[in-house]
Amino acid sequence: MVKTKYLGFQSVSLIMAMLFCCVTQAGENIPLVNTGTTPKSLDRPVGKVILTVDGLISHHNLNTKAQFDLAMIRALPASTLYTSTVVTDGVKRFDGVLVRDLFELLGLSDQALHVDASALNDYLVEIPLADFYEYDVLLATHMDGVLLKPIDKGPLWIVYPRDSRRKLQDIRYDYRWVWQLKHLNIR
Amino acid sequence: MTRTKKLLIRYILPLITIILLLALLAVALFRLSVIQREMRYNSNANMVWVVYYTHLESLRLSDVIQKKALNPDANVDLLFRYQMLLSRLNLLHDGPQSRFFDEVGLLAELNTQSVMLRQLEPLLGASPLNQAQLKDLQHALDEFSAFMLKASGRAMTAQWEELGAGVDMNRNAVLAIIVIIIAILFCSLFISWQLLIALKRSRENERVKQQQLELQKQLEHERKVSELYRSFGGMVSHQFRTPLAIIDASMQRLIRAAERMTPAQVVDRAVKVKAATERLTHLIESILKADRLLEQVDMQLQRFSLADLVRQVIDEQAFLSVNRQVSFSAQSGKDLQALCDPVLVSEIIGNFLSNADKYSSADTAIAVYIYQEDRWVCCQVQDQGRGISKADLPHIFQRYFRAGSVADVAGTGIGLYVAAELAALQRGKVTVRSDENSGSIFTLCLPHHFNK
Repeated sequence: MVKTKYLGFQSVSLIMAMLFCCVTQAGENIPLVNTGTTPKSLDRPVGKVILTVDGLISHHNLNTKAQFDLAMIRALPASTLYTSTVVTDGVKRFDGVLVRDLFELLGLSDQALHVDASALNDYLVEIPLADFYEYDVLLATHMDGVLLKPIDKGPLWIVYPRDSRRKLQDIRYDYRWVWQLKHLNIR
Repeated sequence: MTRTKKLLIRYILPLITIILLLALLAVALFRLSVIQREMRYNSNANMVWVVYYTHLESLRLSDVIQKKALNPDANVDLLFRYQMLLSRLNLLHDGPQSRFFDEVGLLAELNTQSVMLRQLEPLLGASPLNQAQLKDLQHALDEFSAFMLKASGRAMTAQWEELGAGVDMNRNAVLAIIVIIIAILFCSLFISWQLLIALKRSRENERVKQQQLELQKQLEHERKVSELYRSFGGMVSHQFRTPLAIIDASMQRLIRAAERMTPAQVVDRAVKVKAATERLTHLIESILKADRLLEQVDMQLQRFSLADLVRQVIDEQAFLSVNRQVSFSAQSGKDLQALCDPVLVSEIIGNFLSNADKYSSADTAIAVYIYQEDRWVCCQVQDQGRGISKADLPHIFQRYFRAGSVADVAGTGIGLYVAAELAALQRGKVTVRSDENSGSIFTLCLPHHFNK
C-alpha cells in the first residue's frame, strides 16, 4: 500500500518536471521575450539616415540604436491605405510600411509600452505601443504617389487609418500623426 | 354635456395630446442627435497650433541668422531651418489652413508673405552673408513674424468665437430640450389624468350595472313571491270554496228548516259538514306538511336498490284506489342501485302513484318501470289518465300550481313541487312527459351509486 503511494508521488513529480521543461523551451521560441540575449545586427544604412530608433529594441546597427535610410524602410512589406487627414482636403493615398512590421524587425522587448515619436521640428509626442497592433498604422513614405520630402511633411509620416475606424476620427488620435518623423524611442 | 363636447373631451383631446407628445419626443430626439453630431465634429482648433509652429520656425531661422551674423563660422544649418519654415508655409497653403486664412481675411497677405519668403533662398545660399543681405533677411523675417502674430491673434479669436458659438448652440439646444421635456411631462400628466378619469368612469359604470343587476334580481324575486301568493290564493279560492259552500249550504238549510227536518236529515247535513271540514283540515295539513318536510329534512344518502324501494312503496298501497292495478317491472341485467335517502324516495314515488291514481280512471293500470340510463337510475310511473296540457306542462312542478284540467279534483299543487325539491336534495331530478287524454309519465332519476 505504502509502496504504491510512493510510486504515485514519483510519477507526479516526473510529469511536473517534464511540463516545466516544455514551458521553458516554448518560452525561448517567443521573440518578444528575447530581450537582447541573442543580438542580431541590422544592416548599416547606405544612404542618408532618415529614422533612428532606440530604447527597448534588441536589434541594432549603431551601438544601442537602429538607423534607417529610405531603402531599408522600403525593404519592409509595402502597405497602402486611403484616408483623409485633418490638415489636407479629400482622401489621400498613402504608401509605406506598417509600423508594427518595423517593430518586428527590431525585436521589441515585451516590457515596451510607449513610443516617443519626435519630428524634425522637435515636436515630441507619446504614442501607446498598442495603437500599432490595434490599427494598421502606416509609416508613410509617399502621399498620392509622391515621395514625402522634409519640405512637405516628409520624409516619414505616421498615418492612422482614420476613415475606416470611427474611433480614430478624434482629436485625441489626430495629434499622434507625427509628420517629419525622425526619431522613435521605445520604452 | 352635449354629445360633441363629450366626444371632444374623452377622445379627441387625449388623441391630440398623444400626437403632441410624440411630436415633442421626436423634436427632442432630433435636437439631441444634432448635439451628438456636433460633439463628433472636430473644429479647426489646431489652427492656433499650426500658426504657432510656423511662427516658431520663423523665429528659429531668425535666431540662426543672427548667430551667423555674429559669428560667420558658427555651426548652424541655415538651409535646414529655412526648409523647416517652408514646410510650415506649405502646410498653411493646404486645404483647411488656406480656408481659415481666407475666412479671417489674411489669405492675400499669406500669399504675399510666402512669395517673399521663397525669394530668400538665394540669399541663404550665399556665404558669407554681407550686412545688407543680413538686413534684408532680418527685415523679411520680422515682417513675417509680425504677420504670424496677427494670424495667431485671428486664429485665437476665431477659435474662441467658434467655441463660444458652440457653447451657445448647445446651451440653447439643452434649454429647448428642457422645455420640451417639461411639455412632455405636462402631456403625460394630462394623459394620465384622462386615463384615471376613464378608469373611474368605467368603475362607476360597472357599479351601476351591478346595481341594476341586483335590482333586477330583487324584482325577479318579488315577482316570484307575488306569483307564489297568487298561485296560493288561486289554489285556496278553488280548493276551499267547495267545502265552504257545502258547509254554508248545509247550515243555511239547518237554520231555515231545522224544525221541519227529521233527526236523520239533520245527521245527514252534519255528516256533510263534517266531511267538508275534514277536507279543509286535510288541505291545510298537506300545505303545512310540505313546508315541514322541506324544512326538517334529515337526509342520509345511502346505496339502495331503487327497485326494492319502489316495490315496497307499491306494496303499502295505502293511498291507492281499492281495485287499482299496478304493474311493476325492472330492467334486467343492470345494477339498479342508487345513492338516495329511502324516506325521501318513498315520498316522491308515493306522490307519483297517488297522482296517477287520482287523475286516471280506476279501471286503467299504472305501470312502474325501473331502469338505468347513463349515470342515473330512474323510476318512471305511467298512467293512462287525462294527461296535462302543453300550456300547463312547464309549470307542473311549481308550488301551488294546478293544471286547468284537474279543477274538479281536490289538491294543493304542492305534491309535485315537494317531489322536485326532494329529488334535487338527493342530487337527482324529476321529469314529466304527457299527452292530453292519453296519460302522463313521471320519472325520478337518482345518481347511480358509481358516481360516488
